[in-house]
Amino acid sequence: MVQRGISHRLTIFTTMEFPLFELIILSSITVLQLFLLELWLIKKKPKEEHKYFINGGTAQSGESSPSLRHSHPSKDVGHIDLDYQSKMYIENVDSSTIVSTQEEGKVSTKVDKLRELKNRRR
Amino acid sequence: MAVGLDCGTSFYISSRADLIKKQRNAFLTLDGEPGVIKRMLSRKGIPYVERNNRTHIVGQYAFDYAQIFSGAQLKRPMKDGLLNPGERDSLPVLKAIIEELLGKPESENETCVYCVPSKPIDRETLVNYHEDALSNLIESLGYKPVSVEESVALAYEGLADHDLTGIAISMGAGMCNLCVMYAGMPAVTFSVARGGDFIDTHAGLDTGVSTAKAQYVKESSNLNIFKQTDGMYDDETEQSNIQSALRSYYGALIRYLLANLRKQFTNADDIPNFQNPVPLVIGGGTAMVDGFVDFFKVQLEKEGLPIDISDVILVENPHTAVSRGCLADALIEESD
Repeated sequence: MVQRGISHRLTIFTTMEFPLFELIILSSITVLQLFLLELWLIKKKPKEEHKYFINGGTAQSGESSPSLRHSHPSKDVGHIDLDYQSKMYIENVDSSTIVSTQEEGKVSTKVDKLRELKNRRR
Repeated sequence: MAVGLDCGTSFYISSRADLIKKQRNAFLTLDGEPGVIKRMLSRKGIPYVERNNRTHIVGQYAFDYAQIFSGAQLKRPMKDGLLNPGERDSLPVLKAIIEELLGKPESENETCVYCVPSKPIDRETLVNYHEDALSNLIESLGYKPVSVEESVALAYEGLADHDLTGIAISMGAGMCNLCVMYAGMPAVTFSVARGGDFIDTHAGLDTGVSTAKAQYVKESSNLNIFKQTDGMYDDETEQSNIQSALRSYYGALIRYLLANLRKQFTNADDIPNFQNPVPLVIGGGTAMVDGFVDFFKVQLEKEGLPIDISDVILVENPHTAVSRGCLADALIEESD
């Protein structure tokens, strides 16, 4: 009963004079075409190059840079190379007035023994 | 030639082949008109440095002055084994102390091996800044600075006759540094931020005297920490009370050290399996009190360690042992 009812309605729908069915089919095909075109365009678009390089490393394009910076900086914007090994400033104080306790004479160390142990392990 | 430098909380000690120099790592700031103060100090022959119109007495004189005038506050460039973050004049004073101890280099880029503490296991702090600051200070004087861990420097002196195998403990004022060494390779090194200052501070607090006074009694009285306490309380003078408190806190410090050493043996993966009993050598100024080794042995027997200790040895001349270990390392470094 149910199957017969559905097929009866489809027959009416496909055979009716009203162009609604054609419109739906055409618009679906257009949307599908646009979607495929978009996919094709995305695939064809060249990949954007990486703009950041670290300490002379070579980028995909073969370009290199001596420090961490943007490859296209804005005008008048420079970069600063930080010197992490810079010496700290310590104020000089006159030490000529200081006197320490002194013990003169040969200072006993185990340097000969240490050398012997070191040579034995070589 | 070469030079070794022990950068301790309480003393800076330099060693050359024929000379050892010591300077107490302390200073005291004098208030008043700088010109008048400087003339007075010069007449008395008291060492001082001047900075920003302030005059500082440096070294042993500062320590002695603080004993006599209880109101005078002794300042320390270092605290707990590292640069004192609360003392703004510490670096210039340290520079003056190091400059006087090292003098001018005997040759260009003469090697100076200086000691640094190992990373403490009981404090959230690193030692990198301390190491860099000292390196810069030494380099600015024309030396080539090379750092070595304090406990390793002590092992070079104390374990050299034992194939560089065993345990070395350097007991300083601010810290105790420990090293487990096997055939010259340090397996484990660490430090605890307790040392002689911990003993002085708590002994002073418990007996109602200043830390400086407790330190003075520790260093200058006839204190023997192994001596039985019988009769100690009969003479209820201030000094006997301080001595009794010092003895208690020596015990607390040694037990703390042994408990942490035992924990390292239990938890660390790098501890070697010693096949034979190994020696435990001790150095540093805090270990110089009479009866120390016997007292340490008693505590070791109570606490125990998971390895067999053949003997507990106080290194020869414990106060200068780290500095001499640095010198030995510097001589080898120069000859390589």
